[in-house]
Amino acid sequence: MSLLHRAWAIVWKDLLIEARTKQSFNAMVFFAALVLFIFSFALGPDTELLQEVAGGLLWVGIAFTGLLSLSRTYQNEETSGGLEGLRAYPGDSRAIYLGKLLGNIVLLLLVEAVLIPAAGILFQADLWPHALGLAAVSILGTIGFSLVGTFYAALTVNLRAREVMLPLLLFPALVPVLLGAVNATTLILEGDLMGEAVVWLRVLGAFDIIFFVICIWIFPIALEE
Amino acid sequence: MRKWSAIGVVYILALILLWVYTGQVGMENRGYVFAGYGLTWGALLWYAFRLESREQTTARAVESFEVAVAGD
Amino acid sequence: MGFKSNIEKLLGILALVAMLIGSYVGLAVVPADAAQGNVQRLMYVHVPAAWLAFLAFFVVFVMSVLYLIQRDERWDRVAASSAEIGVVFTVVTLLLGMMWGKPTWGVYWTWDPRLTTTAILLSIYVGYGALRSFADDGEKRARWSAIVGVIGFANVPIVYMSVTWWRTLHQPPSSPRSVAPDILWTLMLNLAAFTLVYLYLMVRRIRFAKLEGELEKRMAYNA
Repeated sequence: MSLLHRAWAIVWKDLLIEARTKQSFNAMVFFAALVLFIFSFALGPDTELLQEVAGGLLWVGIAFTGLLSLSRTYQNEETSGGLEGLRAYPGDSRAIYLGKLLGNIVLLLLVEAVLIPAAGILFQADLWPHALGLAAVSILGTIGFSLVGTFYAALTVNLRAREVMLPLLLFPALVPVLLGAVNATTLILEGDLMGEAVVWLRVLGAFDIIFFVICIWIFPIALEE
Repeated sequence: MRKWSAIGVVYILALILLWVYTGQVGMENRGYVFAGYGLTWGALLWYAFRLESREQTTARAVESFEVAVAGD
Repeated sequence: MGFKSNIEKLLGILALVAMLIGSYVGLAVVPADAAQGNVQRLMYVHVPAAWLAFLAFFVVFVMSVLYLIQRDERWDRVAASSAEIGVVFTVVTLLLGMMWGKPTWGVYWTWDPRLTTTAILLSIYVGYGALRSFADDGEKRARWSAIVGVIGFANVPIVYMSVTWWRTLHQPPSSPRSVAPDILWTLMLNLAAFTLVYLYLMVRRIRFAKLEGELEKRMAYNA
């Protein structure tokens, strides 16, 4: 089976399990909504302020929500004692990374599909005119987040105190993604008169490409026995 | 350990000297300059001290293993 | 053994003397800056600390790559040592930056590119240290921290570029031409001093790492 074949098999299996149990999806949506609510209460009812920081709040929400599902990336394999089984897979373990990566991206994008309109409502921001730009940021940012997240999740899976280690390792690495996503979102929501958002989208794109290459290259070393 | 007590004393004396000096020359913002240089030296000396303590502790631990093995 | 430890002692003394001269010159010999006044003297320790921190983390990167290729535990020991010392220099850099920033900008902290990148650098290598303390198996610890060491450092240029686009308040890097010779050679002097300190600390820290390795082996053997 080719690399892509095996990766696809993993994505399909994980998404199927998710579709049936809706374990992660429900928890993530609920948690994300909670985060948005708490921010709204913390910042007060001043609509103008909320609209100004909407981009930042949205991505903080996405980051925390994404973190929630990342730590369970390999859970399906762990609980059935399968991480060993995964390692015993013939052929390239990079298929595992690709498969888990795609699964995480799809799941997070689905959550964002609910979260972003919800943020629009809560922060009274009109999103439809900016739908295309928002979609672009959403996709590029989610890819960046999932790239590093899926990788570090594998690294910390056998580590003690991994609930702490994963965010500790992850967030410094994600700074370019967060900066890019937040700034692009904020600019797009403001109308982006000077076309600056494109610069940030390029930062996101560059990050995605660079880290895709690095992570998929080093992954087998991370998974070694 | 006595060595480090001595170093500590010298350090504090140097700090006093620095504080007096900055006062003598009427240095503006002397608090910040004093704090900056004082912290730099303090941090480096403290790290060196901790490193040596760790060395000694570990060396003793290694020794105790040798004794234990020899005594078997 | 006697020769090695003599070199070590000599290095230590050299480092100490150099630091003393450097601080003395920076505080008492070189005149205060025309524009910034005496607060500028902090630059003589702040800039070298920053450069050495960066050098230390670069060493971690190189050693991490070497380890991943050759799997020789010596590279891991050098990497771990340089990371720890790098963190010390980074903390010093940030503290000095704050001591300089308050009288100059009026605030202890701003979100400008170099400061922010330095803070992120600190969190990357604190994470590196935490990872090592949570990994019990020597080989896994070396391998995982090598991976973090590579990715962490590879991220730095990207982080720096993104933060630069985001804000700019830090001093624009001054080329040597626009800096008075007095200031320049005091800076070079302190840079040499800090480098000697780094080298001395590295020699000792690596020796300690070897000792720790010995202890681990014995504990494993006797377990």
